Amino acid sequence: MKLDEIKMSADLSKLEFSEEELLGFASEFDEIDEVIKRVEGVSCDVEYKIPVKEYADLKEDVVEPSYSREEILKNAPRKDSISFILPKVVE
Amino acid sequence: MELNKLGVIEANKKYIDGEFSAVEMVNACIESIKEHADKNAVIEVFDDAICCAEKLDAKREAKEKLGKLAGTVVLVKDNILVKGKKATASSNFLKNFESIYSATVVNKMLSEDAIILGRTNMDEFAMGSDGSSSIYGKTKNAIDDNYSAGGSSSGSAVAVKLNDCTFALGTDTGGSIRFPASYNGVCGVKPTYGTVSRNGVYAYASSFNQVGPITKNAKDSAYVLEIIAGVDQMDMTTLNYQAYDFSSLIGEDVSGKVYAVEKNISSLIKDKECESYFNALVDFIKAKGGVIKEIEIDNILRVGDVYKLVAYAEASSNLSRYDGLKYTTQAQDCLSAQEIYVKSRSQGFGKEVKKRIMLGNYILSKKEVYAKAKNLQQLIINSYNEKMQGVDCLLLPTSFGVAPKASENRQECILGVLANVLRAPSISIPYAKNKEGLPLGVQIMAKELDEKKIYQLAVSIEKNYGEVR
Amino acid sequence: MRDKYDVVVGLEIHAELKSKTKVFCSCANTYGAEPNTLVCPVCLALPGTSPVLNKKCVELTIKSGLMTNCKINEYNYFERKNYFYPDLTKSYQISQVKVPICVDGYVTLSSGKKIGISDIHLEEDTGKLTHIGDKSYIDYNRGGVPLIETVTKPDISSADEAVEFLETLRGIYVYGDIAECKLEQGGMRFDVNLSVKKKGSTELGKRVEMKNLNSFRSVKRAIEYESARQIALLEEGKEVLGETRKWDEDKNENVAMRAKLATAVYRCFADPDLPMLHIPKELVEEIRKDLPLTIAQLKELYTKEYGLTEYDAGVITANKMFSDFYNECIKLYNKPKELSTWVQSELMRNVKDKIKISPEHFVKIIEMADAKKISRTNAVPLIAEVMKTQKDPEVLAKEMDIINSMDDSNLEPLIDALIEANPKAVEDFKTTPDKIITFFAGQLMKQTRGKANVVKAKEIILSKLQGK
Repeated sequence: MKLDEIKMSADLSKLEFSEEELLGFASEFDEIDEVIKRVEGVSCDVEYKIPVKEYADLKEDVVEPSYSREEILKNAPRKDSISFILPKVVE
Repeated sequence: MELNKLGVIEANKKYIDGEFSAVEMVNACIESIKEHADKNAVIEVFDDAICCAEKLDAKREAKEKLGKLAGTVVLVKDNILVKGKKATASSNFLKNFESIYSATVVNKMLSEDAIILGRTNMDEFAMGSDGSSSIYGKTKNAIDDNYSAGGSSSGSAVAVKLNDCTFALGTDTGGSIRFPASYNGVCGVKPTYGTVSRNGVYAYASSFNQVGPITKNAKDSAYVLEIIAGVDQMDMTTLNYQAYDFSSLIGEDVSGKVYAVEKNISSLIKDKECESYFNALVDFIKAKGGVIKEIEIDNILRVGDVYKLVAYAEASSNLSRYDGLKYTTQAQDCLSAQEIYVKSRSQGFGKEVKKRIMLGNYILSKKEVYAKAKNLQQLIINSYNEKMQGVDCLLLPTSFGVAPKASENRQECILGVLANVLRAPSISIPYAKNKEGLPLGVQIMAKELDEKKIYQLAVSIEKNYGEVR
Repeated sequence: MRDKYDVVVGLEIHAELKSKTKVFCSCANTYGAEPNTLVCPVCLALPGTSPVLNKKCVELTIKSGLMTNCKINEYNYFERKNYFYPDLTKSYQISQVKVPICVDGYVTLSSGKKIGISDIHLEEDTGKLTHIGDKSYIDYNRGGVPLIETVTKPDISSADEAVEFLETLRGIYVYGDIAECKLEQGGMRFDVNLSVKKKGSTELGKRVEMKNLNSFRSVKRAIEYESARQIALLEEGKEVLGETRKWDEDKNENVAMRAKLATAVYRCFADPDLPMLHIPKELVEEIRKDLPLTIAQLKELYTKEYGLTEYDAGVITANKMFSDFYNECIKLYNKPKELSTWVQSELMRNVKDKIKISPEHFVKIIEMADAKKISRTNAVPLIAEVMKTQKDPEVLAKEMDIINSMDDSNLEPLIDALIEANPKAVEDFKTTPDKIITFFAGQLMKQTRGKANVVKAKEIILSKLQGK
């Protein structure tokens, strides 16, 4: 049961582990379950007050120059002079 | 005059007065860094630093107006971006990453004529508290190699203690400035959430992270914080203040001020040494005319739980952009996007980072858990604000003792994360030394935006450091 | 067989907003630029960047809500939808999930039926993948372009109704200056949710989702195909699976998508980089006051106030460019019917994709014609010339030598000469007077190269011929 959840999490995380490593997470996941239980155990009648931004303070719709393609592609592992490249994506 | 030992305010004044040149200052710092290379605190000295120093000297020569940081040299944590320089978050995944833009804090320091000398070692993606997860290897404690340097801003704290720079910047998500500051005997502050822009700073947990200065004294800390703080268009979580006053109460008497200790925290102090130093400080404040009050914050023991759920959840999402496609290192010979993601991320991230991503995704896949943790955060904040009515500052140890042995793992998460969960400002200043000469820090917290009350007390303790011990 | 079932359709419509910049950064929101030239650290999701919300995008979203009778949430916030895909730089899309800007509105169809809108929320578009050979190429220009997603209630009951709804909605967004909705550029895209149920039954069938349709025609076909498919299944006593199916435009059918792709676990949570957005009530009222007229409202104005025929009002409102122009001109020239004729005949034939003449110049030409300074025939080439050169019509008319310079008294000898030269026509005047007058007028205009005042000329011709 727990292993399934660990596997699902690895899947969502886009990380791969050996079976042994996956099992190694069990105690960590158990601990998080405990944490969740404790948090849910506190009777909490307030909602988190997300800080508020006033509409008037939002960024104006003014174009600023974008970065050069050279800069944008600078650290790309696979590219030509125009685009980022990867093996063909099949939907 | 050993230039590298100067504090920020002192260096700026002497530089403007023409007592030394910026080139001399940079050279003094580079010498110090070389001398302390074995500490592994500084991972790169930027090759254009001397050139920047020459330009600054020419500016002074030309009698142009000099900035508030002219004559100072700063080192930045490896997760703060400087245009044209590497910034890797000490991760294998970004070891070749060179930034095409600068962090807002970097631009603010540059516009005040600071010289940015290099970058400092840290725990990978700021996840850790002993500096051990860096690809550059572990940072050693400034005083004694056998002890932990603390983390994640390990290199910044050690470098300041060793006078490798005038001051340094660190980041603090759950104690990452204050732990190493305490273990290495320097002053480190985690400002009120939203005071300093996070633009250009690698994100770990957006809700908690703040940049803060690590300095040789508290006065410098207020001075630098005033420079780097302020609303930033590029970070919507910055508070809407153009300028801050953190220093106007410095030098004022603490007599009649109310200082609190927290009941639950006090009962967690087990180390006799730590306890006696802390009590001595409390007595000292009383002797100075301060009023000590005991308070109890509801659910304070749950702050570690709130921290874990929120920080891991946010981290898993924040670190999803590192996908091996756009700028992170790509694993070899991948035949599909899926393979690029999985292989690159598995090879790129270290163990602790992977663990937190895994747990974060687990938390986020449980409905409403993140929201519940945030709600509990608010409940604790409300209680804190209520209990802090009429109280100037809250006093607590920065850590439950001096730096632990490098291999030891001490449970003191609560001391680190409390201020972050409360969004409140907190400083750690050195106030004691044990027999082996290892320093110990005390933490002073206040309500949101009450930094100046913190600095008032901090400078007062610092001035009387001898008396306290 | 079909009569035994009700088709229940809900639509999700994505429309790219007409702002100058992207929704969370200051890169230009422009279609068709060279790949990866409209990208910055924020929309590339470099380390250390976070979203900076664009005011205009919020304003346009509010407008879309007000024009579709939505309520505006005074406090609303953004969430992260987490999933990995190469066109998504952050590996999460910022969208509004629980508390969007607009909720609970409706659009009225011509039948009077109201199609409910459950919400309209603001979100960001993704980059674009191009597949060539065994590689895919990523262009992030479109990444971060603002989108509004309009989600209807399952109130639509046929393919035709869906198309009428979409046409109406597009009209609203185009007329509101909210979105250009250029379908051929992917500026408007659709998801269809469809289920069928036995007539009269309250129990809803299993819902099938069809994603990423990009024309009204494919929406219509997809609904027809899918409802037939589901009804056939039920008739055979089989079960409809609640699933996501991909519409294949070429094959004209849909196929089930792999379950793994279809059931994405988005792990939504409030984006900690974006504060809650406060939209004051006064601001909403201000925007409401300045709302542009919808097509329906414009048609009513044109027919009821201006006295145009339904047909003329329809022609002018069929394209927002022309109705905008007409509205501007009417402020300068208060003869709505005449103006309508001018716009439909003299203007539309000169315009391909853009009206390159100002309302001021256009009205000036009409006034020149009214004052008989130029002939109506010469107005068309004059308009074309103004569009080409942007020069003042009066100056141009002189340059083109089309100003009516003929003094009326000069006309008489010319007319006398013409009558003299055409005895046959004079003879025919008795039987077909109108034709002959037109004939002589035509001859006269030819001789004067259109510069004679044709009305006056006809008067003179008539009196001369009658006197014969």
